[in-house]
Amino acid sequence: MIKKFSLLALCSLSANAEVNVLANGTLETTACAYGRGSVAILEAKNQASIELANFIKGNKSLSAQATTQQISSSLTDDAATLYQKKRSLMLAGLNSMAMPLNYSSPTLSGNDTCMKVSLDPNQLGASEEQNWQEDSHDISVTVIGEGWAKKGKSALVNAEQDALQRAVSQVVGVWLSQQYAQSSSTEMSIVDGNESMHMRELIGQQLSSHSEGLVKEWQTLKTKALQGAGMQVTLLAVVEKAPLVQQASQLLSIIGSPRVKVFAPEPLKTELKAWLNQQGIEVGDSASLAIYAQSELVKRENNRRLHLSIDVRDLSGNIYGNWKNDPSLMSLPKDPHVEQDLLAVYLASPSQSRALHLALNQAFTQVVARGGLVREILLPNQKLTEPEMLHDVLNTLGGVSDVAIHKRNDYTVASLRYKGNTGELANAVDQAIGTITSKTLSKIKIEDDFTLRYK
Amino acid sequence: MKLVKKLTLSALTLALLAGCQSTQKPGSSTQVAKVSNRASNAIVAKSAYDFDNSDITMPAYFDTQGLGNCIFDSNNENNNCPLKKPIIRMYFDLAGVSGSGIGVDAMREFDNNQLLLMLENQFAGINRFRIVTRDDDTISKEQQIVLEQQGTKVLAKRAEVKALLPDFVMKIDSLRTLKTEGSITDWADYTLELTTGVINPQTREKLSHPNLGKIRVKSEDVRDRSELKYTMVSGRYVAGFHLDQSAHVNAVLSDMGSRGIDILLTRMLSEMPATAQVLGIKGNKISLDRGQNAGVLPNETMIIFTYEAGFVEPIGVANVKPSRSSANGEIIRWKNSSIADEIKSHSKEGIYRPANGVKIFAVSVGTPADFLENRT
Repeated sequence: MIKKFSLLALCSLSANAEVNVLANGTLETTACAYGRGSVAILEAKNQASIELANFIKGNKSLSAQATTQQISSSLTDDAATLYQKKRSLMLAGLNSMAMPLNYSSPTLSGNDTCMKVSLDPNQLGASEEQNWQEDSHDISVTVIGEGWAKKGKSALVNAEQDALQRAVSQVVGVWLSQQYAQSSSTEMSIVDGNESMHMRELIGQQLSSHSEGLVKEWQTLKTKALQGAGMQVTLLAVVEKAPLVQQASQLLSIIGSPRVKVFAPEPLKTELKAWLNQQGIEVGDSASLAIYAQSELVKRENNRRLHLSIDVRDLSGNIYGNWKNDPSLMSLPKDPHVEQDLLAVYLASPSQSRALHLALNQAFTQVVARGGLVREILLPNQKLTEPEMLHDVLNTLGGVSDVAIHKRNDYTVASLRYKGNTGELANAVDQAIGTITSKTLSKIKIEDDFTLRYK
Repeated sequence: MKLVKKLTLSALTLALLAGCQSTQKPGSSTQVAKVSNRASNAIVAKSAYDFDNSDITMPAYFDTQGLGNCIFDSNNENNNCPLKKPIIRMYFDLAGVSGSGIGVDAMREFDNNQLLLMLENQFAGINRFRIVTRDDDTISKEQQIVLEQQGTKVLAKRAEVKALLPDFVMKIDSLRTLKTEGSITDWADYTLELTTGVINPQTREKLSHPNLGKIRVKSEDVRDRSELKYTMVSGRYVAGFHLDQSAHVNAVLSDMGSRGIDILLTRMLSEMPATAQVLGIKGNKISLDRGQNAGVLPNETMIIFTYEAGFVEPIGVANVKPSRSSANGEIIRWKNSSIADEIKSHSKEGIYRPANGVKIFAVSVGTPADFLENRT
């Protein structure tokens, strides 16, 4: 056995750093790297594993030819066979830096930091198989729904409907959390957990209104009668991933990039418009959302800093979000162009730009969460035959919420929130309002994204 | 003469009587001392080559904390790492000069900003603190030039890195006085007094350490008295030193401030000596685990001592030269003691590495002997 190891000793000498072989077959070496701290330690570790790899490369087997060199350490037969068995494994592991090596605590030696590194072949397990989980096309979820007889539908149908909506909502949740876990650079970069919960509920709500198209198949597992002639059903629903993902991303992109109008003094306006375009947010004069921005130069001796404040409002003045820059990031010397320079730098700054984008997205999400944008419908007073019914009629329209009515000059003004676009609202209102108005009422006219007027 | 004799006699009798009355003399641990009004001077270490055996004693404020807790990343260093340096911002404050008179107005117009920057530079060099500069003009000018030469994106990326947040505020308070005799031909006698406070900006606590005391600089330290001579006739300046013109007065005050800062530096180096652990001794050569990173200066005079169970034994004095993260030195004189002899004999045979609970450290004595010559 002494013979077997004599070659190893020779090789280790030629490799400059000494690799010692202990009786149980453990290989041990010391490596040093210039410097201090984690960088130096890592370098020393790498150096050591290279030494070990070189050592193993140079020694195909432990049954080498006899030489005159003698080493004091004696190796057991077991250790030698183990070495032969594990040699290729050790080499591959060392080359890919994935070998379980034992490290001593680092010691200092002049300018260098040194590590003693050992490799014990006994500790090597069999190579593990990796189990890649196949991506499935469908997701099955078990959900419970409740329902009571309403609007001509039986309690069972309503309970099933409720359960299916919950199923879709659940799967949306899974998709969203996976989406954010996988990439931090999605269009909607949502940071904290609350925000993603919020999104999940929001998108689940929006999508579940057409859950039929998303649920591939379902079966009833259990039914139970509830108080007041209600039903509770437990369903196993299979939700198809592809259409759900498509619809959810569509929704996300709508929230992510609506059209906005910009109100700001120059040069902020131009800079901001350019930035919004870069971010894929469309800017136009006939937009339903407005961005109000203000900038102010703050003087401190010879230097100037910039305070920037941006609001997202709808046309009726509700504020959905607000962002302020971090003025401490930089200052520039007094100069005629200092404001422009600072603006350009702030909008180019990764952290500031990200924060602004996030603030805008949160504001846009707020709009959806609060039930859509506010619109005003103007009706001439004398053509409204049943003004007391207006509130109820508008409220029954799908997607409408927060209806409020007041009078302005000769008009009755109904302000409301609607989830869809203005055209859809106009159609829906036109169909519903006929019963409570006189026949001479004109066609509805869309004046802008905010105002719908009858004559 | 007679009177003197009588007095002496009576004094003797009194003393004898007192001696008889009580067998024990009342103890006294205090004495009257004079409050010094003299100008301060710099105190620096002796060169290791000039040390005698009896000079090899322990300086105060050594620190035997090892580097075991260090992660060697200056921005997130462990609190228990001796290489962690407090981040400070410096202020140089001049007390306002009130009153009126021919020289007073000129003294009032004194710009302390340049002195502050000088202070920052000098303190940064001794590496006891990390200093956040207040040189805003240079920084914003630099940002403007980067904007011009590298463009918006590069500057925006740079601006993402925030300035260091100071742990402490160091404030130099100063007092200026002018003394004249009021005769026709006279000399202006300026005095500048500096004190240093280290303040925790959150708790407003003024820290007790480092205690740099008060530094007094007089105009005669920086100018020959004849240079400050002037002549006045009926309250108006006629000839000699222009004590009525701020440019001339500022020149003198700046020199005094600069001298004050030099003395401040030497006191700081005595208050906060550099300590390093000795990794090995080979012959007279020593290898230390810290260098520039712990504020070891070139030609540092360091006392080498063993540290065991809370007791320190100086074993020699060395002249040390630092490199970035370690230092090398030579023991110039070993102390005459059995411990020193034992270590000396071990180190002759090869590299002696302290073990078994004994640690060897090196601590600087104060400002290196040639520091004032080369660095101020």
